[in-house]
Amino acid sequence: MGFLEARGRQDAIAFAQYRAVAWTTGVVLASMTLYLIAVYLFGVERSALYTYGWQLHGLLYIFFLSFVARISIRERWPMLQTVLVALSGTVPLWGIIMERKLTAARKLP
Amino acid sequence: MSVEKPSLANRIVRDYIAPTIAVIAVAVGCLALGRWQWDAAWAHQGRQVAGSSADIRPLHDLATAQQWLPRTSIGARTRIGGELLTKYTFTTQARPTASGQQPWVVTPLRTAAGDVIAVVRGGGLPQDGNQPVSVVGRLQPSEDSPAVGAWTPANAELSTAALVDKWPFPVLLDGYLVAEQPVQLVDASAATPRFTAAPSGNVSWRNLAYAVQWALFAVFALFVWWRHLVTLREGE
Repeated sequence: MGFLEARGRQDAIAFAQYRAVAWTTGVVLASMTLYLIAVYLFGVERSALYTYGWQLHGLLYIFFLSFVARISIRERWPMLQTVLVALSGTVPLWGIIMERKLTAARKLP
Repeated sequence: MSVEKPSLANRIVRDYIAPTIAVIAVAVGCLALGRWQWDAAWAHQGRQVAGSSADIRPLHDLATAQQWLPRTSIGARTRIGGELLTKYTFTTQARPTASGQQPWVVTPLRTAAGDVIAVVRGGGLPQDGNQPVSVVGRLQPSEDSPAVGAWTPANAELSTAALVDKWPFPVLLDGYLVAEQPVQLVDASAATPRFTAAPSGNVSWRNLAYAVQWALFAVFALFVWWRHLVTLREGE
């Protein structure tokens, strides 16, 4: 396996890891946002899941940031793109939308 | 049509000075929030501090509005005058009092300046209407909100953060006053709250985790800045 081929394979693995964490973080964030709306708009009772769910998102977001940092080095992202992708993990659905855009951009010739 | 290249001065501002200022602002902001969480994590520790002093000191010497209660003010004696907003009274689960384990009765007290402080004022339900009082007691720091589920008056913890959600007015202190004598009792047999030292050493791990998280955000901001400089150097 040549150097470039190995490098490309490692890039693909890093991007796949980013996608997995982006989706996990995004799904947890979207779910917890729905729960929050249910609690504050419809008076649904807060259970332990509410507390632990937000704590899980906080933990996942740290992992998410580390994967964003890694992939931004490998793919030489500009500063603005790194910041926007990093922030996308804090806005419901934006993280998933961002992941779809980045994946589509990588598949372009 | 030709596109004018930015001058050297403009490029330096755009590529170096503006990003550096932005990163410093973000990193300092993150570290400030981390420091705030760090202080909160340790604020609930060591409730015996200053508890032995019998001097009555003015509240403004002991605490600042909307700030953590300083550790040196925990347990300090003070006198607060104002009116009890009895409509918002609630009782907690049983806690230590001079008459053994009894529910604490908590009522907001509004000072002449309009500030509101939670006062643990003894047992007995209040009469209707706001009542002028002058309360001598000892200051205590806010306790943690429950780790799981929403806070209700039935919780034993007395959390200022939870009171902010419960009462329709801001609460002055991140703490409360435990009255030395019962205030406005209608039931003579009701318990007198007693200043009791809570177990020390209970660090708030939740706040500590938030402090670490904010520090990591500051590191990430510095990382983005470093990557920006590397990208610029590669471009040149």
